Amino acid sequence: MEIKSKLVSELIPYASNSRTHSDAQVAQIAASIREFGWTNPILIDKDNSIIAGHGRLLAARNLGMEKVPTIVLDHLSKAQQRALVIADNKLALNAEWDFELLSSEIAWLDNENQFNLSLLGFDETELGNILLTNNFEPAHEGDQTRLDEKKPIICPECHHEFRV
Amino acid sequence: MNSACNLKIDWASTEAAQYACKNWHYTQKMPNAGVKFGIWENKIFVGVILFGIGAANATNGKKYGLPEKNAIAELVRVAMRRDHQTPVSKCVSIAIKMLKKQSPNLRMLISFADTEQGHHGGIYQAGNWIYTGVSTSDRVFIIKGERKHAKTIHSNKWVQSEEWLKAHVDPNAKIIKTPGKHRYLMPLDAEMKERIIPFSKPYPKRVKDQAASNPDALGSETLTHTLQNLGPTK
Repeated sequence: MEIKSKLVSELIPYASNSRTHSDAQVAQIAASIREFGWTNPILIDKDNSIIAGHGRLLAARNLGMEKVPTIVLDHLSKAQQRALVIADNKLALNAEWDFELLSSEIAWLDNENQFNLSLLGFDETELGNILLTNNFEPAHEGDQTRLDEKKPIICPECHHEFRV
Repeated sequence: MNSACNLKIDWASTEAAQYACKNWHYTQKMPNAGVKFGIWENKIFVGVILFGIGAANATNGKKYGLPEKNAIAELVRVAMRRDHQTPVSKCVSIAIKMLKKQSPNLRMLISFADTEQGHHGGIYQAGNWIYTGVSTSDRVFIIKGERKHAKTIHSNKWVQSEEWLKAHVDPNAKIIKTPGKHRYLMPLDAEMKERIIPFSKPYPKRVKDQAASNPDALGSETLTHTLQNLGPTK
């Protein structure tokens, strides 16, 4: 599969793209491209119409890029092309998180690398909740029971107290 | 061990202990535990080490020349995440030091490795516990598909008879005999160590190592995450 560099001005957004991109999300994608570089080329058809990557194109424009990497998918029927516009978004949404591992990974990025967590795409509330997942705080010594002392037990019948 | 790992061992809440046992121990159950230590690596909660008074026959001091109970505690559970970085034996060692301060009159600890799960007690061997052989076999009651110990049968005021349990509790109730468990002791003072040294036996080998020399000896080998992650090579 060949990656071709194309002028941003050449690419044509698909008019019936049902996926929307807020300004905030486009800014997140732009920040991601700035940090990680291009990791995911824009998918286009032979006429330069975008199949997947509308958000990436908007981010590239925000970053003032002239050219972007693309992959031309010229083997799809018109129906397959329109289906892929939807499936490319929806299939990714169907994945789930393992919150225990997610929490551990984000904590590692945060504690050991001081990585900018805003680049991950979670807002601050979400990050806070993820980091709290299963992360219990220490308790107090007073919550524990001494194991070297006999415990007082009161007989429910005669109310005599004895220790076991 | 990752040298960058920031280890913290501190008191744990019941909630934290329950979570760790449910998610990170093969039994998925939390035993009675009076003292609960939590383990945090880089501020992330990764497990618990629990101590309790244990079963009466296990922690009865008379066998070891102690006048009564309350001088012996049992290490009843180590439940840690699969990806913890610190060797288990190091965490146990720190927890024992803290326990000695919290319950200073304890003279000895006891713990068991479950032979049914193929455990040989690697964490105890790594921590120089004294091995004293396999405990006597036990009876386990299968009630409604769940394993129950004699203590539970007794506390429910049930009779420890298969016939009685079938008639009154579960028509499919069964009593099965379980193999004994590897017993390890940790003296908490020099005099106690002298006292239990005569009980000492050579450490048992891992099931894998046994199998290498005697393939017929290979039994169940479902190690807990904790026991799979032994020693400083982790």
